[in-house]
Amino acid sequence: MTTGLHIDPEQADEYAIGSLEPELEHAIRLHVANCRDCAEVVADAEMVVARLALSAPLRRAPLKMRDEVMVGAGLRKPRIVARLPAIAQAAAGIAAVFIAVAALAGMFAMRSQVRDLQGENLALRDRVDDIDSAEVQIFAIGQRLEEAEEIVAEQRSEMALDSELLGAMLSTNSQVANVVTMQGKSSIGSLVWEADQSRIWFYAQRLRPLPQGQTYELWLHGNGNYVSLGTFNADDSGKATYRRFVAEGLDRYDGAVVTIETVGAEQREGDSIFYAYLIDR
Amino acid sequence: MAAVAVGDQFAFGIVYDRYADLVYSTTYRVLGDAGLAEDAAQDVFIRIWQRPESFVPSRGRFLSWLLSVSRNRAVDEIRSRGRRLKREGRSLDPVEDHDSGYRDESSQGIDPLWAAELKESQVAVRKALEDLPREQRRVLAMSYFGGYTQQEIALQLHEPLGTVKTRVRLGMQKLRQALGDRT
Repeated sequence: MTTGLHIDPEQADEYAIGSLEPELEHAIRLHVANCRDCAEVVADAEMVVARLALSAPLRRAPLKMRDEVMVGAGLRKPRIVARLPAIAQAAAGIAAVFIAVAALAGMFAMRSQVRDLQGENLALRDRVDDIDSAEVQIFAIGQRLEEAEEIVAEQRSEMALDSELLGAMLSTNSQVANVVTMQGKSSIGSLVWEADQSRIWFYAQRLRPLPQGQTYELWLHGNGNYVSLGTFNADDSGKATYRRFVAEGLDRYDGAVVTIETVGAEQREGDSIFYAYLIDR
Repeated sequence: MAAVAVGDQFAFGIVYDRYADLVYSTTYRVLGDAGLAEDAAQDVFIRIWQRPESFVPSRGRFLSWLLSVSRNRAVDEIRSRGRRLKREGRSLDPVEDHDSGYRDESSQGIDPLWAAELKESQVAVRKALEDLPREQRRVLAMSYFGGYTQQEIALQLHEPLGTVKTRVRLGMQKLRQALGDRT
């Protein structure tokens, strides 16, 4: 136990042999550093305890330990064998540099290859673009062909219509009337009644184009009534060719007029702008 | 040591040659591993060279100080490794442990007078230890060579702490008496 604030011999023994808990050991170490009396007590205990080390069987220290101690103390340079790890490390470093250089060179070569491939890729893209462009052109040509075919078909249809109209006008069973304007009585077309086919043809030209929402309408007058034969519009050249089958029971008429009506109107509202001379079968 | 303290490399070489085996034997005794013991012994000598002022002649003999430093360095190693070192099959009790190192110091080419003095000291210490009761010798060995605290020894031996303390104190008293003025 401690004597006052000092260390007694028994505690010094415990301290010297190292059997105290770390905290107490540390406290004693601090005290001994500043207390000469206690330091002497502890030193005496340590002298005794240190002798215990002599009880250990004596072993020969490894021969290389001397060199290692001298090197560790800075009194000798490491031998080549001992320096092998450092040399190997340096060699590894140099090798790493070479590898890095080689890798760099490889990287440049690879970059060059990448550039070549990128160039080829661009060329291929240009070719694909050309092909796409050609496809577009072919598609446009096809469209134009289709449009041309539609025009041809339309013209054929018109020609067929004109041909039929011509046949109707030349037929002995047909009656042709002149269509004139209400004012000035100038002729703008013909009205053909094809009795054996129960068809009526209306042909006119120099018709003015109508604004959107308006349409021409043909009316037949017979038995005291006007009967609508339908609406029509002129083309860009002001022409209109119009064919209708007449309804059953309508076997004669005493006149015909053309009016301008609102699209969708259910009854006649417009004034007559053209009329046909009485055509009597 | 005075020459070592002023940077005499030749003197340091002599100190090493004289004490290397003792230091190594001590660290080996504690650590039970040749590689670790060698590392610890190297540290002890390097410390002597780098900090010779650590030894204060007025506080005791150089040999005692050196052995204490060696033992403490080895115990620090054990504690830093959390006692993971395995020392199976080897008793910490130097009397019971018949493991041998070499015993014939006279053939090692060291100072014969020193070798004889060392031999005499070894015989005296072993005799003092052999005279101790086995239980007391055991706790001293566990403390000194094993680095165990009294608390740890009590746990290991399944003995009360007070019993362990008593054994340490009695063992130390008898050891001091046996070694007498040899210290």
